[in-house]
Amino acid sequence: MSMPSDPTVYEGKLSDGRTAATMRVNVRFAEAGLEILPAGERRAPLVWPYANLGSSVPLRTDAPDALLSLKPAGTQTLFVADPAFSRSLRARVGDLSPARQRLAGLRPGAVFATLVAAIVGAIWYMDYRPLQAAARLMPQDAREKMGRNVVASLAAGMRTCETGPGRAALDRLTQRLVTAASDRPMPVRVVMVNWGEVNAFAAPGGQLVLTRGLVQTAGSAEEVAGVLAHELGHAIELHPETGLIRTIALGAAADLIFAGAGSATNIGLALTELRYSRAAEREADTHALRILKNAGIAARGFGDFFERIGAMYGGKRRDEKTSGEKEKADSMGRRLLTIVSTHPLTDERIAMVRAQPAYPATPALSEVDWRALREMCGAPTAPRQPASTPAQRQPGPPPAERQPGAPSGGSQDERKGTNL
Amino acid sequence: MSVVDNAAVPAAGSHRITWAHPPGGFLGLSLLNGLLRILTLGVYHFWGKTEVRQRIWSAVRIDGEPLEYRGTGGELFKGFLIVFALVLLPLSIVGFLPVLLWGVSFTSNFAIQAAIFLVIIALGGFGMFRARRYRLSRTRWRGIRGGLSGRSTPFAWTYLWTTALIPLTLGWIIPWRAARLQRALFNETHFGDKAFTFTGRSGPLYVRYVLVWLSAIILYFAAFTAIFTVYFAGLGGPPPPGGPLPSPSYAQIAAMIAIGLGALLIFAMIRAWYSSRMFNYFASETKYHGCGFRLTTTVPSLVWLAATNYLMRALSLGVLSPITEARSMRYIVERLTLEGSVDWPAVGQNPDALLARGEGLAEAFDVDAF
Repeated sequence: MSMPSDPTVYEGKLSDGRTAATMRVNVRFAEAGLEILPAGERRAPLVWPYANLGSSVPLRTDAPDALLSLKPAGTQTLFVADPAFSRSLRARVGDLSPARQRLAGLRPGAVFATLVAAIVGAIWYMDYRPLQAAARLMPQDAREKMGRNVVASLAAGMRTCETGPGRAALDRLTQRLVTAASDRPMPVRVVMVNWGEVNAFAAPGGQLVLTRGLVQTAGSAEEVAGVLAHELGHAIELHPETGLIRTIALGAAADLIFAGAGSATNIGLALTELRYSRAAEREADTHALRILKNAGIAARGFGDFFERIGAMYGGKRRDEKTSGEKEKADSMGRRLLTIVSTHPLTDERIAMVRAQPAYPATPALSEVDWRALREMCGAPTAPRQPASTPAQRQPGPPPAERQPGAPSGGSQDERKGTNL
Repeated sequence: MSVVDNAAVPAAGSHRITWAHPPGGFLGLSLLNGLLRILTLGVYHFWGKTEVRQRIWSAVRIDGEPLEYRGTGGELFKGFLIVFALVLLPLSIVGFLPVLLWGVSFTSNFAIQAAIFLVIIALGGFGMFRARRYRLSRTRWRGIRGGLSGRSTPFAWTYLWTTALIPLTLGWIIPWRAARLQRALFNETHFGDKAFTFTGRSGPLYVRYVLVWLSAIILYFAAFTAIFTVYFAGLGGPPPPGGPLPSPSYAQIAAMIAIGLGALLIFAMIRAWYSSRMFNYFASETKYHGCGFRLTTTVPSLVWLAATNYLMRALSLGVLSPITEARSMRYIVERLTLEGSVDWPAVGQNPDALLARGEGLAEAFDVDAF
């Protein structure tokens, strides 16, 4: 140590680490280290080298006292209750300062954060999608079962429409799109739910859901075909499976970093997922246009459907009294990658579809098939027959109070538990 | 330095335990730790926690000399990593892999989640015991270490079966369980080579517990009756049979929430009346080498401490929890008096070998015997 010795003598208490007794000592800053001498004794003092001193707390300049021992595992302790002593000690042994102690503790965290940043950067740079890759590892029948669970829980309390000429028409349309989508066989199942809400979504394992409300709102079979092609796009890209894995992975990571800070984490996760789902919608739209073209179905219907939805959400929805319920429905829709989600902005999607050059096309469905599809869950104008399920499970107001084809603003809270 | 205490502790009179509020307090440290934790993606948590403990421990003074926390962030981190690899990771894999791989139904998934929950409870006792052992072994006063002897398995087993009996006994086992766990922990607690003794029984706790139990039931029904009265009063008549129930107005909702919160607060007071008695009684039944303890917690102060600590943690998303930990420690220290005098020179060093790792299990499950 370059600092000169200091003649000031401080009173302290020394414990020898063998018993809980203590003895009064005099302490002095010598050149070689702290000199500790039992009060009233004539013997050689203990000398604690400055470099080996450890403090029980990081030593602040305003510390009223200091408790010292020798590093790394000294059991002798020296306690000096004098602010002047703490100040002098800090001046001599900078390593005891809080900043230096924290810097040492930061090292592992800094290494870890740098590593994570490097990995994330590399994944970003190489445009690798680790979550989608993980989703592809899931066996098809597991994805299918999972998707059936999701569909079942979403359709709880609602009738699914499985039979009749409408079913056959829907299967014909689906088959045409699937064949156009990929050379390889793709297991796809489309479930039609007797639900007034205008909606469609993709669950894991190629399980697609259409609602009665959507089919009856659509102006042509081409519109339904566009929506189906879009959902097929989600299925091809494994968006539902990827979303599930992302939710699990991000949730676990956030729990590790912010353990306990639940709500902040959830907001962050929701925002992250929103960002991902925008990209996913664009991908699905791109697939939809390709599939429609391959299938020889006009893409105009897809654009018509967006316009219809845009008009409905821009105009009619605004004066509905239950805007809170709408938001709920929207947030659920977003999580399920629904066709009716507000992003990418509908105008942008319409423009994208309209920019598509024309190609030779045939009708998506025959007139007979189209009518059968619309009436699959019952005739559009007829009041819905009472379902076999309890009344309170029925979403939305009774059909008589609803404008035909308009989306119901009903509460879908019961179906929010699908967590996708 | 074998000279025996030449400035002996005053022979007469009791020792004093006091709180010396540390310079800088805990607010700045909390905020700094929160920031560094985010910057290091969570890893700094263990080092931040260690500095908080160093500061809290050193604020506790016995006869003017501070306690010392000797644990390190690295130890806590290693403990966490081990528990993460051996417990958390396997549990979470068991938690979601069946859904991903085999698409099990929601009911089977519920069963899996329930099983995981049971494992966590089973590990709760281990976590509690080990956390306490680690902390005691890292606590020094005058260079003498604390410690917890005994093994964690018997404690974990007691913890598990007494926890399982709580619902089966409709809660009547709770005071008995508290005394039993306290005895298991304190009779094994050491400072140096001398053990604490705990002679408390559950009998004296039951008088107040009866009232807690009855009031819980009475309050529950009273609150529900009041809430339904408010609800149906707003309808102006019985609801149409079979039809959907109309939604209550905002005023009604506010009144219903107020009733619920009021009942909760009353219950918290009664519960604190029991807990306060329990803390004070347990302290009075604890001895260390000729020294007794007297704790004087009071009901209003306990409720205030619990409520404000809870709000502080919740509103700051946990960032301010160092402040709440310090407040809890200070609360106890300022209400604790030591009765009688310990022959300090007769207290030798704790012979237990130091444990190598931190308190991972407790950290992971958030159990704390403090």
